[in-house]
Amino acid sequence: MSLRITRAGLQTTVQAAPRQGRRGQGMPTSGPADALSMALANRLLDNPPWAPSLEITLGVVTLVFDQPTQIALTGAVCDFTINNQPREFHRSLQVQPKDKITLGAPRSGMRTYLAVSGGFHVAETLGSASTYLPAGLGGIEGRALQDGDELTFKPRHNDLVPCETPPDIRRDPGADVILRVVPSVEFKALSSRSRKTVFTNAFTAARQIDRMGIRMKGPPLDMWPGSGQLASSAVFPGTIQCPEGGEPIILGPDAQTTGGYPRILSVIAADRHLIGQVRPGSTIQLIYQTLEQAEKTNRQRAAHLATWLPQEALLR
Amino acid sequence: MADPSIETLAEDSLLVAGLTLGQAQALASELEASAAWSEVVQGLDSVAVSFDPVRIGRSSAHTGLAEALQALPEHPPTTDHPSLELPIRYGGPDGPDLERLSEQLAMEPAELIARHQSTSYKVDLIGFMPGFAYLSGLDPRLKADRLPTPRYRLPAGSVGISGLFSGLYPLDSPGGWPIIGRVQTALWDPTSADPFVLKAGMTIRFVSS
Repeated sequence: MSLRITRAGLQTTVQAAPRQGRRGQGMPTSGPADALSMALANRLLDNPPWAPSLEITLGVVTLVFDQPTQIALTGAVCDFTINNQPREFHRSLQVQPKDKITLGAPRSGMRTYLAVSGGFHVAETLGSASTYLPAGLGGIEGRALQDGDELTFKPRHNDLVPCETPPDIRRDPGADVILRVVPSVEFKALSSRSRKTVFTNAFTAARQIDRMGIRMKGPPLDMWPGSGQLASSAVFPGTIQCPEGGEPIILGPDAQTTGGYPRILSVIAADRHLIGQVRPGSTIQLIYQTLEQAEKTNRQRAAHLATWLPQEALLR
Repeated sequence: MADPSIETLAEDSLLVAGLTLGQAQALASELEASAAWSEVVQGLDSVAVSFDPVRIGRSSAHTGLAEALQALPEHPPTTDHPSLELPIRYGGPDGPDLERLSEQLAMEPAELIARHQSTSYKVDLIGFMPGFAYLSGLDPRLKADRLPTPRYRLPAGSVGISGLFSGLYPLDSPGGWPIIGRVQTALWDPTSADPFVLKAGMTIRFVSS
């Protein structure tokens, strides 16, 4: 059974589980940029949270199924039709052979997730089917999908009970992104003034956004002289680095494992999925949290999500 | 060198800073044996760990790290890694920057090659990109700057130079180091549970193929 991609869009990749425990070998975490949205899509189809799904960047995609199955869409909301009939996000939906699925461009947010019953069949590399583009591994030949590609799947259920994401769990990405952050190891590399303005001034996401990181434009941050280069040391998705030019970079799921720029802040675990929805030009506001506040936010967030999602999908 | 200290990277990751390279390698391999850590990442003078922020939490993570640090000898015995001889081809399509770099360093390409081959290297660190090896021991005469613009894609096995390190790209990846040659054997096996051949602490020699 297969899905044919008739229009692949800007960057559509197969994503599955984040790769865990391999950063020590230099292997980035990879996996879905907005892991929460992907887990929610799979939840609607009774799939495991990391069943291989499509991560669609800035929409404009057309797909045709050759067999009956169920699908669900989450993440950046766009016009979405099945055979020209408008359909909704965050619902399990039945599709029939030859049904044509079209996605427009999202009004806000960056990435839409499309899950299929049972997940797409993709071989695992280094423990996951997730596509990691910089080294060309995982997914379909390690690359983004192209027009004409076909993906196979085997529906898990023939008669899925229709369901939708509970309203208190669903959060559609907006035009502005608020990220709660805690200070990181080199926070004090910022001048005393910049340690305040980094939270009062909003940033704008630069045009160059990829799954490795997001460069933020704004009044440049001042650094103490000589704080620019460090001996190569660990960074993680969510780390905010600040090179000497004073324009901070938020690291994403494909971020390198070590770096030499000062690590000034880190996005808290509960908000890291939002990094995947920042698009060029998005306004980004950083909100300071103490470590204790962050821990409390994470606990509350995990407890809330646990009412709907399995344990392994929480705080991803 | 400052005394080692435990610092906070985030609410779910901690950093042991102020280590010697030998201590960082020993501590990292010690910590990798524990199931408490989601990730253990060795740096040149540090080791970072990440953990589940709800199920493990910062204070027990801190205690675990402090204990591992306490047990760490000041001069840890170096783990006995096998030394490896890697067959390499210099210049031409395998080393597109050899000519230009030789010119910059005011030596013949043959001299650059001889100097690069004359020493043995230590794998100080695996990091940055998948399996990327930072090799120390470079002849200081070969010190080089990064390329002004990184290449979009380098073939697996490419050997570069940057600063006082030589670097080895085990798989096709983007890269900003000037490339002088290419190793002729596979340095990773995607089907293996332990896919990367090179490990921190190994000794490497380049031999002509």
